[in-house]
Amino acid sequence: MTGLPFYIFALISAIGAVLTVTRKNPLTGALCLALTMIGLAGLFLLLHGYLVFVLQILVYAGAVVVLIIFVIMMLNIREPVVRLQRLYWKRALPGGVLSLVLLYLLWRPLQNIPDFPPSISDSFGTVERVGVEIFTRYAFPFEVLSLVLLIAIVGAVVLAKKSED
Amino acid sequence: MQLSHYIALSAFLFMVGIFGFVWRRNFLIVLMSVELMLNAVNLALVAFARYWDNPEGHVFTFFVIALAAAEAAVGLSILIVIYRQRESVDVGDFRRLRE
Repeated sequence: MTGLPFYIFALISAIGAVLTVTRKNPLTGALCLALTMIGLAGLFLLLHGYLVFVLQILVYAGAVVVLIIFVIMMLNIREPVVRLQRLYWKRALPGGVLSLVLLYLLWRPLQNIPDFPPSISDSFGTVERVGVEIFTRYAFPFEVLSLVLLIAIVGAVVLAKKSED
Repeated sequence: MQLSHYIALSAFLFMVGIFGFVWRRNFLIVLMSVELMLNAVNLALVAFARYWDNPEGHVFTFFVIALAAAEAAVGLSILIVIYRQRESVDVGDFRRLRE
């Protein structure tokens, strides 16, 4: 297995991530976020996560990013508001310190991570294998998840509805 | 490709997410940073699932993706409500709870 596809997808997602947080215009940020999601989906494919790959494209690139873009367009943020969104590099200090602390904490463990085992079972990551897992061992969390999604739908509708008075 | 490469990329994406979450004042970008962090964790989960030859990592990723979608929907509708009241998407303007 050559490393080239990994580096291509890793580069796509890393560049997309950096652009997402550094672009002034949230619409550009959302499009860069979609780029990151697609790069990550490619990585999932390399890791034999076929179901996760499809879900990543469908739910993230397809639904979440489109939802964000929809809201950006729906808000129709006026020009002065957008121009006020200047980037204050001075304020980058706490975030920079936090991420450097994370890097410091992870540096040593990263050196000792072993390589992947060379062989892998045939059905690994297929819809069938993951589906069996979801609907047997994780059936209860799955049902709870449906409740969570229902509550989120109702909550989103109730919140975003214009009040009558 | 080694497992450590995937974990390093995951850590990098998480760092970028934290950085954006703390630094940016635009609520939309803050939400996107949260999505970025969730995705970084997903990558680590899938990589370790491959390492252990165990699909439970994929099951957890499935749950994380569903919860992230719910979080995005609720977060964006909260943003819409606040924008109607304040005409702003700057998190610095959202301090009614603090006052």
